[in-house]
Amino acid sequence: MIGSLPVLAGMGNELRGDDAVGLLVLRAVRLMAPDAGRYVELGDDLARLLDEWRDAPVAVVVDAMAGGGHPGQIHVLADPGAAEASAISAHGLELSTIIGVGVELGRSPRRLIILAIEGDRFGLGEAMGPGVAAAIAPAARLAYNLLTSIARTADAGASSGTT
Amino acid sequence: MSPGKVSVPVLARLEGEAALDLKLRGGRVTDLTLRVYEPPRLFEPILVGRDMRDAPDITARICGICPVAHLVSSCNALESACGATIPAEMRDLRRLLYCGEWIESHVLHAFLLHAPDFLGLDDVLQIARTHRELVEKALRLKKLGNDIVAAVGGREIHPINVKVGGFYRVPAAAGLKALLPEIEWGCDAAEELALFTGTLPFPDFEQPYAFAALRDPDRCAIEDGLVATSFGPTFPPSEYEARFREEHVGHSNALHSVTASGEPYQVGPLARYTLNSAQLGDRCLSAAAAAGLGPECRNPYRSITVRMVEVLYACLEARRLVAAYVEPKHPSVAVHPAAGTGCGCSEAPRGVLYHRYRIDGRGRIESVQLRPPTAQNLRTIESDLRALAPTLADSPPAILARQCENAVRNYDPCISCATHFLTVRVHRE
Repeated sequence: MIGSLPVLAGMGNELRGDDAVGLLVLRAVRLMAPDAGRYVELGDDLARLLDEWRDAPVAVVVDAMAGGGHPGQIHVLADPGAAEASAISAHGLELSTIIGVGVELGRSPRRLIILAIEGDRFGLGEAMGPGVAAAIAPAARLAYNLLTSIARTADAGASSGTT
Repeated sequence: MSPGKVSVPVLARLEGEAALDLKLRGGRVTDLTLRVYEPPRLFEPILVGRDMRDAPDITARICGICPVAHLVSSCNALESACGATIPAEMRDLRRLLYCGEWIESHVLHAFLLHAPDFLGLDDVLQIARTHRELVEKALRLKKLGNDIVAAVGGREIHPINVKVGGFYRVPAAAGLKALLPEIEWGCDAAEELALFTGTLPFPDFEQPYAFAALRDPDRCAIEDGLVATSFGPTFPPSEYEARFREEHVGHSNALHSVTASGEPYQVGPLARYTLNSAQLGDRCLSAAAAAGLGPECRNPYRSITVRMVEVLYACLEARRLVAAYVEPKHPSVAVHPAAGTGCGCSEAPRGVLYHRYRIDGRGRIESVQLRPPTAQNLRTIESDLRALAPTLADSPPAILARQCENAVRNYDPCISCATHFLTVRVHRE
């Protein structure tokens, strides 16, 4: 049910090299733990997030970024504001915009974590680079740990709040 | 006015990347170029040598906003090449899928990208703050479109259920019928949002457009049809390239389309409305009239209202099609490859999308031609800007640039399809 489960969202374009990493991390986690949360594959339509992550205890969003860092380097942004998130790659309505709209409309997750993975090959039809490919497994473990540990904390918090 | 130039380096709230360079001298436009600098995407050569059955899914990847349009135009063309006849129930399912795409694409553009222009707001963040109820309604309506696409197409973005000859699997009747209450809500919401757009302040900017849109004698053309124009006879898709030619222009990676006589023309909501409004039905026509539209519309700023009238039509069509839906016995008909050429069109949210394939006797693709609606509209967008710019010549550069952006946004251009899109520079000499 929407709102009660943690959400893992993967963003990207599978036809643009390193940009596919968000989707591949999501699929790796889903394979590892199919019931750990709701899995949302995102292409161009990020507005879906406003429904998918609404009131979720935690949403982890994984995407590629072009920040000039070492390919495969993983950045963790905890509860970013709209401006902080704007460094992440854009797909139509940018993630930063969606975060802002979510705040305005009260359609945000309780915690939002962004895993941004540095890439440098984004051309149409390019293969994923080795540095980014090597980051898939550690990013998947990190995403899974964040998803489950924060959700547990949120559950505990919710429980303690009601006693 | 002093001579000079104005530059708008990036046009915002458009799909893709492009720029506008504008030179003005004494209030007169001396040069104007809409530069599409996104590199060519080369989908056509990618398809050459592949099996024809690959074409719908590959071309659908051109765009995340209008994949249904590419799926359907591609299938229409290939089925025509092979002489296949698609049963009415398959055509209806494609029409329903298309209704979902019209709803999600139009609502996204109208309320998250276009409406801020008329309300003096910068973006969707501001409109979410000032018109929360409106944006909530738009988001729910957009989700309805996504749900329809997912129910028929298998998933919301890049649906995977369409094939040459029909579908891979027919949707379960129970799943579709479960959408009816939300579709019913969608009809009312679309009507309300269309009426809201009629209250927006529109500039007086009627232009003498030449229009082209598909036409079906029995209903508003969406998933296929003949090509009707405001300037000549109706013709089949097989004559498209003879009636409309493409020109390379130095400043754009997207080709410009013009009529055979070299004139710009327009496809999309205004063309569909002006050529086919009589087929919209009483409820849509009443909403259109209440929102300030006559039987024709030649003011591009009012395209936001036309889009919402089309959303209402799509919701009503979805309700009719779902209510009448009975699972077909077979998801598709056999299509046997036959050497030849096939042309197909459908009405993408932004206008007529044309595909043409030549295949050999084994179904191997030998040549491809794709004409997305945004590329067909580029020359007309430039014409609008040429007409608009002199009226703003004395405005500060920031105002002028913003007004130019607004004029471009009237077309909801999809540069991903045209090859991608906008940056604006205005030069005053």
